[in-house]
Amino acid sequence: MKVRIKVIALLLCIMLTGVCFIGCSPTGSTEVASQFPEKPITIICPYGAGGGTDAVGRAVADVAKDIFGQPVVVENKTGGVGVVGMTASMNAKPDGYTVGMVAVELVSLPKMGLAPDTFTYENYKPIALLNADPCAITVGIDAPWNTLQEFLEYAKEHPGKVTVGNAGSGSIWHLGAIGLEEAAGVEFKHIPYSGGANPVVVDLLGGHIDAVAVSPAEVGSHVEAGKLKILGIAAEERSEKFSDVPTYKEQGIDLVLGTWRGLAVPKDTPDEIVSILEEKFMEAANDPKFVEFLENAGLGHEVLNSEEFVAKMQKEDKLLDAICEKYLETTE
Amino acid sequence: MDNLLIGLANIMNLKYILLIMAGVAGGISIGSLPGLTATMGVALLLPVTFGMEATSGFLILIGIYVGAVYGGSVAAILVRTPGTPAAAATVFDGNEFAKRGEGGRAIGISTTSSAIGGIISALMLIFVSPYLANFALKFSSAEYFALAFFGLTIIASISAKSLVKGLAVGMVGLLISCIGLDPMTGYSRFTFGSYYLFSGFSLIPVMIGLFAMPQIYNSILEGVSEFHIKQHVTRVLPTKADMKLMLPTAIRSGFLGTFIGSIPGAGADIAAFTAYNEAKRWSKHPEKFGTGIVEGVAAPEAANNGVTGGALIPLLTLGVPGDAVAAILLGALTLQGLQPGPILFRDHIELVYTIFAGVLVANIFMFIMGILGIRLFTKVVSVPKYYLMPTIFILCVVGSYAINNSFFDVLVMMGFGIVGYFMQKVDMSASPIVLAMILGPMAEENLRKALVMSEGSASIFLTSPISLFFIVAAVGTVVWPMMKAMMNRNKEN
Amino acid sequence: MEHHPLDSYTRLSRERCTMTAKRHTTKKQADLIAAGILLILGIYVSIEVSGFKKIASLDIGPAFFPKVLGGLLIVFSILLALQTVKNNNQEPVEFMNRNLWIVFIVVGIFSIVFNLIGFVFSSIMILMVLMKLMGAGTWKKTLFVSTITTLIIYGVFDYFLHVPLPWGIFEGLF
Repeated sequence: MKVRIKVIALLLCIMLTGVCFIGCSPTGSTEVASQFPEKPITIICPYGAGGGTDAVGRAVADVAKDIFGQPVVVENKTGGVGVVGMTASMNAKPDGYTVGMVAVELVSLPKMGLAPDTFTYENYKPIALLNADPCAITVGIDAPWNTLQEFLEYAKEHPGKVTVGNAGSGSIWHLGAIGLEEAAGVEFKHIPYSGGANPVVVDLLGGHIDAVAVSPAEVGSHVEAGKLKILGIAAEERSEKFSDVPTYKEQGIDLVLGTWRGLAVPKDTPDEIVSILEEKFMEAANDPKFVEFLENAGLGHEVLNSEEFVAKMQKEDKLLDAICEKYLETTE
Repeated sequence: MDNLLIGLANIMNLKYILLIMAGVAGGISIGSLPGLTATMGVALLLPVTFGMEATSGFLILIGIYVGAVYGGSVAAILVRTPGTPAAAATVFDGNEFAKRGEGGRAIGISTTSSAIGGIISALMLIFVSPYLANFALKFSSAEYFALAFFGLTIIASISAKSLVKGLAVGMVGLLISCIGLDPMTGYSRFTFGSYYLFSGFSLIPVMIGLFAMPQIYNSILEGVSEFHIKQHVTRVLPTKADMKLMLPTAIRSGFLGTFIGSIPGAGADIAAFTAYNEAKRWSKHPEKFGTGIVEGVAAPEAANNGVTGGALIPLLTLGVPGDAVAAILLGALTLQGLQPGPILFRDHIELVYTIFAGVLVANIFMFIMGILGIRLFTKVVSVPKYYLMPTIFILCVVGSYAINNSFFDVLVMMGFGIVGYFMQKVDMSASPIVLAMILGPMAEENLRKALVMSEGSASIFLTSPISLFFIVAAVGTVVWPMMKAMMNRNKEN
Repeated sequence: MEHHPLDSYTRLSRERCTMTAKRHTTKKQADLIAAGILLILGIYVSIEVSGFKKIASLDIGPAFFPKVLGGLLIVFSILLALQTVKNNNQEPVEFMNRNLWIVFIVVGIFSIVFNLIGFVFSSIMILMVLMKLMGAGTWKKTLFVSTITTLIIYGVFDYFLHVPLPWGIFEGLF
């Protein structure tokens, strides 16, 4: 009995102290922008450690800490295919100390009914785009097709027979394959693999599927080893690493689509702070150390400033509208 | 052979040795903390290795991997809380030792068999990796489904007292693994519209909740604080008699673990359960499993460390990771500008053999540290229960939080803690849930993928020899005990 | 035969249980409740799944797996109920007592205040309560032990493992 009373008393004390602290906790809205940043900056990464988004975030944080003169920490908040982490950074205190990693899913998830209405890129002020990787079509080295046209012709003759693997239903690679179907007027048999790009590439290596729709970087080592070949890349220009592979556009398919990762802050963040963040993170994004890192990791280096980044998201928003509609048709 | 000697000579460098040692020690600590897995340990240290040269960076990660897979067993044995999912099968017999006050003996067995499994896998990695790697590529959807189906029949042998209860609990586990977005269509199942449930429940909070929390609640209920079981440690190395019991099981399980590890997508957790099941199946006294016998600890522990080398086989030879940790190791190599696969063997053969030698050395250090650590580990649990139990509680909270930096996982852990407590009260074993959550997604996704590929024809599972083998083995697992029982009955008649 | 402290303890607790057996649930009742819960779960899943959308292009859609599992769960729970009735096990089971209720409530409070007052304070709180309920020494001593334990865990996770634990409203004060 005695114990119980004491327990309750203790709880009350702790809760009361907590309430007191709420009352007198300092409100940080009057901070002077010129002194920014005065304390460590946190980057919230919506995907797990070890993945591509995490790698980009950690690499930029590593370079940025010297530029800001303050630690830059990456915190992984995963769950809900990215919704949980991005929602957290969207709703963070708009003081510039919490920066969100954003990815193409920010635009695509709401269109597929996988995110709340409040989940939109318009709730962010973008800072900088750090990386982009296009969709591509890759097949086994022994496959009878050597160009995208040959592949698509075959698919046209055999509707619904060509198996195209992607890295998860509704993932950008799945949407990329649907986009290709739309643009070329063909029909694939889509096979989604969960757990990133690795399992699907393994199945292509083992000859269990006809093609994969992931980025060139994710098949790069196998292409170099002479086991796979890339037929086409959905980018504006040819990539440096695979300069002999023509783009979709060169092969008559008007489709530019892929994944990208960038940084953004909540939309109520003061403009002075946003411009400081933009300036410093742009410097980090163009730092040779960061560029080299992306190259080694097989990630595409594409940097855009805040304004260009907004334009890109607006463009993708329109493009993905049609593709996601098709996606919903085929799955529901 | 020359290459191997060069590798061994390379590794005999004070810096590398110290790095491996540090990695193994760190790995053991991470593994023994509930919630922190080998995957997480390696992922956490990955950024640190960016600044190192390739060999050093990779060796320290290997050390962590080997250490953490082993470390999980310490907590499983002493406090009945598997430090990692790979140690979930070690609880069955390991903790029975600790209940008898023989926790030290069980850790000795687990350490030795882990080292045996690890060394077998390292040797397989060195000598037969190209063959095994090509075999691993034969696995596609039909084969994975058959493997998962086979794995699920293990539920029958681990549902302690009542088969019906085990099966019912297993179904619940499989249903839990259905929660979230359907991997094939993105359709949301049982999420109640909550975004937190889109990726379903994470395995680790569920596992910790089911295993650790019931003990805490039980101690409260029974007020056991007046005493705790003293662990007698008279010797740290297994006795000759124990060795004799352990060796055949450990060697077999080591090979089995290497084999499972080399299949992309099947990791240490699956290997440990399978090895436990096989040890029980081929044992002369299967009924003694679960009561704290030597083979029951040796099998899962040799198998889960066997995975370490096995998972590196497809990684290094094909550039395809064999499990979740190997996927991060793949990242570590590519970030250093190295492309695993045939090119790595052509251009960096010295590095490859240094890694091979590193796996061997890491296992030797794991053995030494494990054996030396026994007295320390058992001392930790000799802390009075009224301090130990609450500390375990808070470690479980932090461990669950750390997985996604999300309090949601803590709530999941505590929710399943209460479920687990009541399950224990009605004699329902929690292990089928854990096994089902590991294998459920693998079974469902691959079943459906295989049927899409075969255009709905189920014959795909019987035309592939590998798949046929597992399906026959699965049916055998269920039918064999019944036949044995019938034969015994006939004999009596 | 080696005498083990656990033996005497279990005997003691068993005696205690049989003494109060009348007030306790029996194993039979407990198993029937469990079977009932599983049955309800199985029925719920079956109903929920029937509302899933059919996908024309797939023979086996998102509903297939849970449908089979829900059905099997119903079968197994009925089997369990039948088995339980047949076995008729009258051994008593003790589910709850006063201390355990307190712990459940405190764990509940902990879940609520964790995000509010952060890790350190909520951890010290729950450690103290649990330690006291399990029979640790004086309040002063438990306060000391729980503070030290909390700080060590916080330090290890924050500095070595880079897992920032939340401070709640105390964010930025330390």
